[in-house]
Amino acid sequence: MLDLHDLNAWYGESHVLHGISMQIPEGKVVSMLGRNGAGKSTTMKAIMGLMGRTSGRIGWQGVNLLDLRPDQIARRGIAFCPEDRGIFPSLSVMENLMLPPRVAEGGMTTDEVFHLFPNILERAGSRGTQLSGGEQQMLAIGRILRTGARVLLLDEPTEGLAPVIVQQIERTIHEIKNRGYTVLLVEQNAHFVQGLADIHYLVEHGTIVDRLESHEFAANLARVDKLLGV
Amino acid sequence: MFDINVNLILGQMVLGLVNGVFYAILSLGLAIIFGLLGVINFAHGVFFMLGAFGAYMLGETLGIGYWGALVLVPLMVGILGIGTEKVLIRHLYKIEHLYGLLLTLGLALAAEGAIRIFFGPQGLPYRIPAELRGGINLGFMVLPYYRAWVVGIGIAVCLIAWVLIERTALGARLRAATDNPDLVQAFGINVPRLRTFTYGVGVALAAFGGVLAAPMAAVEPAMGTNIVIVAFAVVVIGGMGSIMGAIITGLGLGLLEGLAKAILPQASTTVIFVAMVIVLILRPRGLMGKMA
Repeated sequence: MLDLHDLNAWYGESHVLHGISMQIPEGKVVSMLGRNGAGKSTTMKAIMGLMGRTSGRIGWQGVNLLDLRPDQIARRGIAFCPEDRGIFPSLSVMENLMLPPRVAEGGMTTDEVFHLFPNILERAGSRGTQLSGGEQQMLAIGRILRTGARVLLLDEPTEGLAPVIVQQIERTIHEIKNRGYTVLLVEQNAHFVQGLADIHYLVEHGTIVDRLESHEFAANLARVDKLLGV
Repeated sequence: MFDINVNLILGQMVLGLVNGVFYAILSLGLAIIFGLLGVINFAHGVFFMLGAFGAYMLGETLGIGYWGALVLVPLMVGILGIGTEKVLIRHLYKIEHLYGLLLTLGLALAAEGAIRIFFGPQGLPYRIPAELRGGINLGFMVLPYYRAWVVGIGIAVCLIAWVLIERTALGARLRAATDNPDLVQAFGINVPRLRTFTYGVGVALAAFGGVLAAPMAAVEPAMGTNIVIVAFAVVVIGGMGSIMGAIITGLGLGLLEGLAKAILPQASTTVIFVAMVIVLILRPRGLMGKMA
């Protein structure tokens, strides 16, 4: 289990996470829901060791991830797909796909990634940034599925995408879930995560304000929408 | 004012190409280091000079000749560069480029001063290897074999470096880390080690250039300072961080300098900087640089 306990983080002098505590059990999909600036992406960056100043504890496999460098965290089987997708402009689609090293056995082969996202194969020779937003998202997810990481941090994977692409991403996350991956899913779209996540954490002003099991979510949807400003 | 002599022009352009090879090798290393480390490495000329002195010292103390020096000296200077990066350069990554320029300039002045104390300011001789003595008559000039060798091996090394960076998995990591080092590290790639390695390779290239230069010019403490100024102009004209820009511009400016020597010798030392000013006005990101 990925166990966040009393996690605090700062951007310079600005205190942005105020004691986040949450648990992400292995094999489960967990969502973090909140408005822009609530601290969702910052939490993901803190898990990956990308925040300069932090306190608290992020327990994983008996170690505190806050003591490790980002590459050491990734080598422990945690993979990150950032909000901006992180497609490298100077690399081709294929180079982008092959960039992250394998960190464990059991990652998807490139054929499996192409089977999951046929669009990527068609655009393999293009520059990464020549892809549409949806194709970039598929590439960003496919890229980390190759690595063998079993914990996936997906930061707003549906942001700015057409409904048909959102459906494809949803099917992909279902497929990932069925394969037993652990997923932390940051979203602002409550309806997207409703059928996907096993546990939902609601985030506001850098702190967890509620935790909902999947069976409790529908009954609280109006409250969640209000929190998200929908 | 202009005295056009085709043979003179061709001859000077061939010699300019020789200079261009040195500009390309040095600016290639500068471009790689600036691209990944974001450091304006003013100490680059010192590593070039240490390459020449390394070849001289190996010959004087251990009897190791030119060919051995060509392999050993870049390795030794590369290791020195790795130590320099680990002790000094890595503290510069999170702060403004200006501090990097100041630190490496200080490093260059200190290292040059130390060499001057040990070896004196005068030039030291380094012999052309026996296999490369003599020359070939091209019709318009007699081209020394050694200079032809420098052009050939220099261009080959530049192209190998380009292939490694643009066509291999290691090169893809380097380019990606240039774009977004934090994300590359979050993928499990040890970016600090990649930076150390890059600095080592960059200065090893400079040292390789220094060994190549040793038989052509006197081995003296200021030899790196003089050439690194031109190499910086090459990097600016080619586009900061552009590998192919550095190679093509280095060779091209060598030719331009040769042309100027034939047509207007008094302008030959300034023509590169005039070109730099023109490029900065018309295309500030350089000929092959990326948009800011």
